Amino acid sequence: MSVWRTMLVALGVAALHAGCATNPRLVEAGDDAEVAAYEVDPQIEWSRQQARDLEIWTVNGVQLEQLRLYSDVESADSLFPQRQGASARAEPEERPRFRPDMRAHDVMELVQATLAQSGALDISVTQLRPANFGDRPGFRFDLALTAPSGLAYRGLAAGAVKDERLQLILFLAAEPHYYPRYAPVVRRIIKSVHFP
Amino acid sequence: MAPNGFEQVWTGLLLRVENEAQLASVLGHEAAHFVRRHSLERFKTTERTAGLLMATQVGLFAGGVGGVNVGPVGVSTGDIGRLIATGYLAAYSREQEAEADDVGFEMMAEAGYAPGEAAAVWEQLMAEQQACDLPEPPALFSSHPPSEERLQTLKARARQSGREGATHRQRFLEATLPHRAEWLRMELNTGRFCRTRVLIERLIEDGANVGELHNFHGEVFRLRDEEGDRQRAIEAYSKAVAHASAPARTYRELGRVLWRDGRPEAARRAFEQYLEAAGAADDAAMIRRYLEQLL
Repeated sequence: MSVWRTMLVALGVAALHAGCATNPRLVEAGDDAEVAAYEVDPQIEWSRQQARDLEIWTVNGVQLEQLRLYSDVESADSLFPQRQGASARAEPEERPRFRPDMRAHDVMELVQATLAQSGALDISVTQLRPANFGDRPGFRFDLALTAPSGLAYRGLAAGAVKDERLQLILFLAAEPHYYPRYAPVVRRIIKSVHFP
Repeated sequence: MAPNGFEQVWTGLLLRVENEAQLASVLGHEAAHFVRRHSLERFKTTERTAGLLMATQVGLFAGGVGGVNVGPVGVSTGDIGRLIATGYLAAYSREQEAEADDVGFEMMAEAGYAPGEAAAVWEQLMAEQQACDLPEPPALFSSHPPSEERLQTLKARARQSGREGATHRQRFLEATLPHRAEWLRMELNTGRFCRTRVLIERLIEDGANVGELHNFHGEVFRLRDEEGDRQRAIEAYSKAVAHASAPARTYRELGRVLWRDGRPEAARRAFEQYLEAAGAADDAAMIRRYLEQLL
């Protein structure tokens, strides 16, 4: 299994296992879904796994599209766990971690460096812009990257730092079909964010 | 180098060689592993190892420990097998390395490159490894550990050959400089800041597009964020903007560090300079938001 697949599947799921995740269950369209710190309107049905500060939603499988909903990421937390297969003898990588004083550019860099260390290639982050996340002043940006297999992915992110904790929605999907199919849905989900 | 002669060249290598002759020496060394069938022998050994590992895993699975998540990343017997196999793949024998040095040296010298550059590239790698007290060389060279003995042998061969040759430095720079900023960004994303700092300091000494390099020097300190790093980053960005090759984003990064360092007035000035230099940048609206917050 490639490092990229490891990131998409094993690391994501393992992160959930490490956080005592629930078994996958259905998010039903129509009712608001509570994601620890905030609530969203899921718009459509999703398969959902959740742990302490992360939920991963997907329709067709995490290698095709995944919606990562982070809530209350605390100081020194990372967005993905240590990757598998890293040599114990190698120089330890400085894992990108959240700091409460991070601003929009810092969070964008945090996401970019995390994806790079997870094996993604040719990562580009663009269109960083101010946008409310719920009622909080926040940011949005767009992503594009290539998996080592050559498959192109696109993505988008939205978030805010609230009470020194990061609230972040990160969507990644295969560029052919899956990104254009689900990106409008994800944009509506982001628009629906509200803090109880 | 794959057993069928397919060779991957990583951008980390392109950042770490100073001229075409140094690149030719590494490519020659790798090609020699193929020509002398080292990579094929390694492939066959791996096949045998994989068979053994599969048998071991079947045994472990039968014993009830297969695929068990034991930690935050879920290490399984399959992963252990893969790790062992990778470690096994990483090694060429000492004799194979010496032979590849020898044959690769001949190839690059025959092609008209300066023979002395073969030793220089390994010397630079060893300097990087020693400066950062690394337990092993950078990943792309992990299967070819440089040693003092190999270095001295290559130096002696260059002296004894009596040949002179070209480095083709200018041609190398023309081909690589347009891509270097992107490669340095990828290097930074590895999070291996000591190694990246040593590399950038050597490139600054080398003297091509130093404005861009001082910018990346600042980036190392800003991202590493250890005691004193904010001031180091500010100094590096300030040096960068004195050169025409400094990218406009240098002002933005300077503003971010100054803001974090509790210097809002100076941060404002830097952000305004960024907007002036790159007003059409796709993050201009975010920077204008920062400026409102800094009022």
